[in-house]
Amino acid sequence: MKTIILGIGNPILSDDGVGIKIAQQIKERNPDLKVVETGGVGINLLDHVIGYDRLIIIDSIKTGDGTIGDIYKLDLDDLDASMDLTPSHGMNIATTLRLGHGLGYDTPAQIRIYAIEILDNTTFRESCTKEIERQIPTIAGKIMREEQLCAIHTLGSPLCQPLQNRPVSKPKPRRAR
Amino acid sequence: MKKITIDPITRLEGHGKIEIFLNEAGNCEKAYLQIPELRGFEQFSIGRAAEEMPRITTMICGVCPTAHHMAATKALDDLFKVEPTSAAKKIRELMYSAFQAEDHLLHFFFLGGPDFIVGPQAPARERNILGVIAKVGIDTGSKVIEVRKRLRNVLRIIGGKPVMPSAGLPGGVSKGINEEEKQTIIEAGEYAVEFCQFALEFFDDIVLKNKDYVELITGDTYQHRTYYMGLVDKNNKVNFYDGLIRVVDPNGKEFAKFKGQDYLDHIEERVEPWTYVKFSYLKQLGWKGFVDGEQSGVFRVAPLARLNAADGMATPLAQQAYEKMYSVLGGKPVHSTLAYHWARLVEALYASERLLELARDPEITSKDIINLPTETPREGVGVVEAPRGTLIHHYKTDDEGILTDVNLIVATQNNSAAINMSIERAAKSLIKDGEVPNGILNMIEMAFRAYDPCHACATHSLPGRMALDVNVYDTKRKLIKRLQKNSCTTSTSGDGVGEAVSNT
Repeated sequence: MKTIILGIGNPILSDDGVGIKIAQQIKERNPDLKVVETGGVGINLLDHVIGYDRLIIIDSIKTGDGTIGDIYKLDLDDLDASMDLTPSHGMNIATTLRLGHGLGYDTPAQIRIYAIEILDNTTFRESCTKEIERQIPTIAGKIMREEQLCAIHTLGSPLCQPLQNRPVSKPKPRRAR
Repeated sequence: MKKITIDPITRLEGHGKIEIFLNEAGNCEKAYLQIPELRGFEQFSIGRAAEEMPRITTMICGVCPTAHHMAATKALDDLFKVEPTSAAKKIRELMYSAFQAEDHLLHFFFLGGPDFIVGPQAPARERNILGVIAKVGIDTGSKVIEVRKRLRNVLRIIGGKPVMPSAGLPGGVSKGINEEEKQTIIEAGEYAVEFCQFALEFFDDIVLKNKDYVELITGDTYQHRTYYMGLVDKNNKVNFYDGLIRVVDPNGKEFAKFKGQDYLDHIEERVEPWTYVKFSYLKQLGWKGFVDGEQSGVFRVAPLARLNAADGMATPLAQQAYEKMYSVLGGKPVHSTLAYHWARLVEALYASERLLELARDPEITSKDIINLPTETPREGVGVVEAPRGTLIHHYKTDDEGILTDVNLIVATQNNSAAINMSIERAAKSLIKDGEVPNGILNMIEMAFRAYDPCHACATHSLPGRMALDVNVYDTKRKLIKRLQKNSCTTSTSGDGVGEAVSNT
């Protein structure tokens, strides 16, 4: 199955860039994956995903209710309800993908969106806030495990299976060197 | 991990907000648009090498990166006191024309058009591109996608990548165009010219033949008699890439014409205590408040303003479309905000024709694409017409070309006073004797959308668009009504955060 991982965000707007930074970490840990970082919005996202079977999007969100670094796991259906008017230019992801499908493009059948609760997306700076920055490796790990993206999966190891599918008897943890 | 459902009434931070205050009689007294503002771009830039700016500024906005790229590149020409070669100027303008055409067409069909194509009274959930396609058919929908693809390919050929181009260097461009690429660009231009003619005919059929729509365009709700600003060439024709900034008064008479470098003599900025958004106004007239007319310094920019500020279009088909628009709408200048949509299509046709002209120019494949800078940098200003209006970049550096001061006047800021006035006008015409109809949200949004404002467009957080809330207060500042997106139509429940898959 052809999989693409899209990290979405603005790399110079503080936590807005968290999707891009997580995508970079995922690529570092498993260079075989197809990972794309993008600052594109709306319809431009369609350019990246045509021809893939499975799409994993990593983006930021600011619900204001969650704890910074919370990971929300969304399906396209979760975003469908926001397919209303767009007062600003950005067409949302759900509309974009439905549009591509409606026009007969080969858009991914499997779509998963991970949204990270962030603190600040209005200050220009290249780094994320420290609250987000220190969680990036962990979040990347959690998403990789959830989506079975670890390099070790290609060897069929049970180590990186999603939590609920893991064998009951865990292997002994190795001592850190 | 948590589960969340985002629907139109889910509160996400970063919403735009419109606050409406009623008077004793229950009519709208004042309306204010509040938008979250991005901070710190100036500090972010200071201390960096000036030549980084054409690439950094593309990240300010995910929608019009090419406009910032080009304004920054032109500011570098001025900063390093180097005149680009003739071929380089043509390549830049060609690239810029492709960008303008694509952006305008996308806006018409995807964002602004749904109001007209699907209809202002249609349920909000149908007023989007999917609703447009349901109405116009898949063939037309596919053509929109095809023209966009071809125009973006032109940006890719010249700029490396369409989202964050890297073509612009002080004194020229980084890469020329070869014969094969030239052919591809010519084909894209031909396709775009044909498509824009189709789009104008389509506008004619759908909008102009509908009496209600024409009344909506020409009615009082969306009228403002303001000044208009735009770049013009030496014949006073609309130009997106270069020229002098021309301002006309509400009667269409030339009020000022000046070089980009002199912008501070003509444009002043103002802050209001209730918003972070700055308001531009004409310095010579001064700030008289959020009012239109000849005495007020409020001016407008972007498609309709550019057409009003110029004497015509520099290409034949666009000139015909220009003449038709003014003849139908009763002569120049046109003050109706909703005519921005029509003007946008006229401009898309001009951009496509200009793209084709430049692509056919024998000099476009010249290898003479850069003049190397030799002067010590000090200060530079670059001006272009972004799709959303006049865009100004102003940099100062030390002798090494390290930035010491940066000032950007973005297009939407030039329109921000007028946007606020349009919202207030819509509120005043719709709220009567304390009755706030639900449809007001859409009517206000229509005013807002005509300008295609670029508020908060640098952020990419989900759900990928900015929502608007409308709050209405009585004379005692008591909230009497809150309208949120889609609250006037059937919406799914606003559960917000729901099932927790697993905690982080």
